[in-house]
Amino acid sequence: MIEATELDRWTDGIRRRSNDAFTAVYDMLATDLVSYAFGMLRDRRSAEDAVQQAFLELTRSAHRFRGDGRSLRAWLFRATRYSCLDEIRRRKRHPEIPTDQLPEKMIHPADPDGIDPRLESALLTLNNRQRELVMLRHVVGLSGAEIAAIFKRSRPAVYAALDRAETRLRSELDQGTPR
Amino acid sequence: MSDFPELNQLRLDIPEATRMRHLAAIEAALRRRPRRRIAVAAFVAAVLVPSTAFAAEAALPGDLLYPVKRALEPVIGLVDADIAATHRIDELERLMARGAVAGGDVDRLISEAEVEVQRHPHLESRLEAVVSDLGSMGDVPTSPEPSTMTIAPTESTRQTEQDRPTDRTTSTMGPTDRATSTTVATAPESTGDGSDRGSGGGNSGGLGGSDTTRPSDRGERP
Repeated sequence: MIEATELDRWTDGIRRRSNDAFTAVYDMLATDLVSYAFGMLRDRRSAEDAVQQAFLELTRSAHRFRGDGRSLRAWLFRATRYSCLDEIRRRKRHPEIPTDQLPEKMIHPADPDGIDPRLESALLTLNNRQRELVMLRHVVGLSGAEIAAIFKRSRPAVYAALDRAETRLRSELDQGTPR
Repeated sequence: MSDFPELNQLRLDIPEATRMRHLAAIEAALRRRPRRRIAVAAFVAAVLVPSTAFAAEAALPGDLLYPVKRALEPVIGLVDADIAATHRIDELERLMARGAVAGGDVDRLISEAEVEVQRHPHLESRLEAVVSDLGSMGDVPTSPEPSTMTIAPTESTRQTEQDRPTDRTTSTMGPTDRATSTTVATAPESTGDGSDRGSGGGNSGGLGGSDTTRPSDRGERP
């Protein structure tokens, strides 16, 4: 994971809507953001679109941005989250969308056969919020404080929810019974 | 992260094609101006332009907004063809109400109004009325006519005036009387009071000159 201090040097460029700054920030964060979005949407293409939407939103709001690299990262994760939530709502409104665009299973891009079925079934036992927390903490590598900033919740609340999610996921993985 | 090494397989990479597509979209978005600036500009334009145009509507020559008023006339003229003629006449009326005298602005407005009225003849009578009123105040220079000289003091009247030198200055003359004094002022022996106006009103004929021969005016003459 990219350290927030590495993002600090680009925040001024982001405010000035510098293309170089946006490119640098994209290269530092896009992988984390797409991974997080993939955990929410379970579809690679949709995850990539959500990240693109987040950066486009940043181009529109950059002149108002105030904060350091940590704030910038939290802002982008939050924007990606909102894009994912919009996509989830859109899917609910339009269930007629072809199912081949909404895979039931997480398809790992490097593995056409998909991810470990045991992991997949364990993740599916979590609710959406718990899955988000697990992705942010254990796939992206954010701290509890940064996750709290993204969700705009208190740290204790985030830690408590994360602890419940981790306990459940560990329990499911240890059982090793794919569903 | 170390608690769940299995989750590492959920970490995705960005294909180069996707990266290029995203960066191209970002660059294109950066070339566009932020929405807020456009919104502010639109708001300012929506508020300032109509209010300025409204304020400029009442401007008179010499006012700060008068050039704005003139600049907007071709635009307003698209829906209100005689706006320029109407404006010129309105301006003349308001200048007259302020007691304007013949001079640069009034003369120029009259000239411009006459040009505009030629294209909108239905305003001709209104312009004539305005100019007539101005002429009756002795403020409008018009073409010289011999009639103005016919009422110049004759030898007998001159003699009478010499006998009663304070008649004109002490009389309570109304606006129409001022025209009379203007005409009288054209006489070589007119008083200083009359000669001041005579320089501008000596050629008072046409719309304003007829006042000089009003029966009432003549009746007041000694």
